[in-house]
Amino acid sequence: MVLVSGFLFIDISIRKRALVGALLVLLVLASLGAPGAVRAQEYVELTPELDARAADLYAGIMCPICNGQTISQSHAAISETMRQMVRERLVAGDTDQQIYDFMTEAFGRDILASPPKSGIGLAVWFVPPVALLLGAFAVTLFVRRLRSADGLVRQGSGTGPGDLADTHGGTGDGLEPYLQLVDEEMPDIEERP
Amino acid sequence: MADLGTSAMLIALALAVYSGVTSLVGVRTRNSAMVSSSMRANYLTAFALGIAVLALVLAFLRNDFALRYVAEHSNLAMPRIYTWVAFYAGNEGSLLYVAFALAGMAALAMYLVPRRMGSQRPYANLVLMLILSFFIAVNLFMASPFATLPVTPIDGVGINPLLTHPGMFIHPPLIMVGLIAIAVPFALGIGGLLSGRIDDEWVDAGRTWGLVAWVLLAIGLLLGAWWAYTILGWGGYWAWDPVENAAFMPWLALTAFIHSIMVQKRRGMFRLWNIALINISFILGAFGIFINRGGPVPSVHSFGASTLGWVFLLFLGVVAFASFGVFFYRFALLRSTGSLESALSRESAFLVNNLLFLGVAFVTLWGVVFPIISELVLGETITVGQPFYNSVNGPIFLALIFLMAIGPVLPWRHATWASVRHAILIPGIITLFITAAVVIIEVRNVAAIAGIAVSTLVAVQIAQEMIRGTLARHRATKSPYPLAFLQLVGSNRPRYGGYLVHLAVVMLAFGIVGSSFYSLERDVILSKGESADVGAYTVEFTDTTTTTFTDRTERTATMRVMKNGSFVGTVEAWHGVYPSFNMLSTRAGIRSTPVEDLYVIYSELQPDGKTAAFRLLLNPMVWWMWLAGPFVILGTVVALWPARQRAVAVVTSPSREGALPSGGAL
Repeated sequence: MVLVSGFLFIDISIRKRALVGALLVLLVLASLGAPGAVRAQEYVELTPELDARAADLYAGIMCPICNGQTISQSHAAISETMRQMVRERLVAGDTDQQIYDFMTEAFGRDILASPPKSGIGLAVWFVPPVALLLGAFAVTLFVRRLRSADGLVRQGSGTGPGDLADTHGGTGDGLEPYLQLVDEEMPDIEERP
Repeated sequence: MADLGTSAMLIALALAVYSGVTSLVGVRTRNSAMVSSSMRANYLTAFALGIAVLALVLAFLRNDFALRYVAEHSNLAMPRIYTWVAFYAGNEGSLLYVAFALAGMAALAMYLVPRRMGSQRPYANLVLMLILSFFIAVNLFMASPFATLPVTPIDGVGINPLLTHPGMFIHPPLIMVGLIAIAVPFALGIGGLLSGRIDDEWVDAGRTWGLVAWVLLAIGLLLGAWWAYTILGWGGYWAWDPVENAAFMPWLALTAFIHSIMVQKRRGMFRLWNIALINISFILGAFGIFINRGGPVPSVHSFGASTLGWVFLLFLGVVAFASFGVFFYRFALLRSTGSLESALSRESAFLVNNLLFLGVAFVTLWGVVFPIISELVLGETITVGQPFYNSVNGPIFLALIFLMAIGPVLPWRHATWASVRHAILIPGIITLFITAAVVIIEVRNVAAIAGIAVSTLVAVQIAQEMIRGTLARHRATKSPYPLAFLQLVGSNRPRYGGYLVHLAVVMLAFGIVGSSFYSLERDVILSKGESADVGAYTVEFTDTTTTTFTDRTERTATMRVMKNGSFVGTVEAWHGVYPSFNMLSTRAGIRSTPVEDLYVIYSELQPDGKTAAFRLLLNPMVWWMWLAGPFVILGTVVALWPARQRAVAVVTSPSREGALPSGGAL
């Protein structure tokens, strides 16, 4: 299993899919005239407020050549450069959205760590709440059916001693207080979750 | 060694097939001698695979480079202790490891399963042997660790240097065993269904083995998170990476299962539902194996190109089809005996729990699968990453934690609002005060406040339960308080084991809320003697040392740490550069306290040798997340500890005698 072969290693080896991204990146860098790694004298220092925004932005942008890592996690040179680009835009006063737009224009749409809430990306966001609502609806139906099945079970199978406790019916047979008592005493006799 | 290993595996395969066939024939023809024979073959399979494992270990120890697997994953310079890691560093060895683990658990499960389970036992054995035969066959014929090289090399390629970390000793094997362990409760459930017996006998064994798989995965996942935090060097512990998700989803489904199975154990309800849940758990486990093998999605868990993807996709398909095939074939037999009396009861709390856990599993599956669909169908690459999972799963987890405060105190059958009020009135008031204090001190985010509020509610509520119970015991038995507390836990182990695990979840929640919403992060460039501030801390870069090895260059930076101006200690941040693997490995310098972790990553030394790039993080409350691990283990041990004999006698005999005739009547 692969959990084996490389859990938690920084893999900056370039794969097929990533190769395209890397070429793109090189082109972009060439056009910007930016160096590969950030040198000390060029490093853009940020105020604490901008630092906090930068951290959020890093977590929203994927490193184009490292499988499944955001630029906040990756140590690849390209991530360093991209973080520097984000910092430059922050100092220039861009909004978060402007920075995302700038980065996607440079590196492609799939560097966004979460899909945009438009177009096909909308489906990603739309389906989970719908599924949860459907699930909640199904549970409600299930509970109602189980409750109405109460009477049927009582008529159908009230033979075994094991069923006695289960088939007494919830209403009107006057057993309620005694069952309550049984429930309270149960832990001493039997396991209870 | 190659011949010994291959023969052992061939014998194991023959034994597994024999055991499966004789189980089926024996139970169909009511031939109990044949069934006994099949059980013995089961035990021998584990023994034969043990010999294969030993053969591979010996091959590693003797540097038997005639074996391709040994030549590829070790060399003469490798310390002997890393044989343990090298063993499962590749496909072939890890498959052998998985097969051996499954065989061992299958033997133990069949040995321990009570004889009274009757025909369910051979059917469960049949299912286990089918799965085991598949793994042995793939291992033997498609990815054998005993394949030999035409020419024996003088030295091996060597182990991936990054694998030689202590973390590698525990995390991967636990996840692998955890994933395959789901096969045991799955086989017990499906075996019961195949046998056509509808009683609840599989429930106890199913719950036990479900908990075993659950705790293995839980600890495996936690260790992975801990290791990512200390080693990966980005201050995170969980990335919603596809391979992490692949191990996480079956764990979620199992969590739903170990809760829901209690309803069947206690009330005879949810029979259908529990079978469906264990099916889903095992299918998700098979999906996990496929994601790991086939690698259709990019992941941080880099894995070499595997040709086995289609085999495991096929396995996933067969498991999904067969398990639900049996389920619908026996659908009519799975009617519940009990009935729900009130919408406000422990039973319905468990249903909501199941809905939410499966909800998280679905969201996660959707996030893993959607990019594949999008690329295949629409040709559009879309990344579904952390922000999606956090914003969708976050609220569901919030609801789950809230449910932890309510669910455990609801009585079975029928709860009243008065009982709910009795349970959470005092914790609710305390929580209100604490939350108000948090809001006054530091308001950042509504989600963070909600997370702190529900976690506090659960913690206080559990404390209240334990204090009330201990006081009642003390009054009743006159035992001193510590003894009364132990008696309380002993009186109802599943319940109090569960509370311990719930406390661990609260610790995790505090760590996650603290580090997600209140973390500070700074990238800085420092020359020797310079310092930078992060929060109340000042970090001074004092020195760096460089050591060059044949395969790597290691650097260690020493940092002096001051808090509010006074010196509190030094931390050492480490990194290693591996040119041949094109990798940078970091080990963060961490100063950990229950309040917050100061976390220093040494990312780069500038060419002048005096200036270095660092990332400084302040991660509040992370310390608590690692404390959760021991609590999870302790809670599970308490919950699994066998009940006293007297209790067993009282419980089982009436329910067994009662269940059979009524089942017949249905």
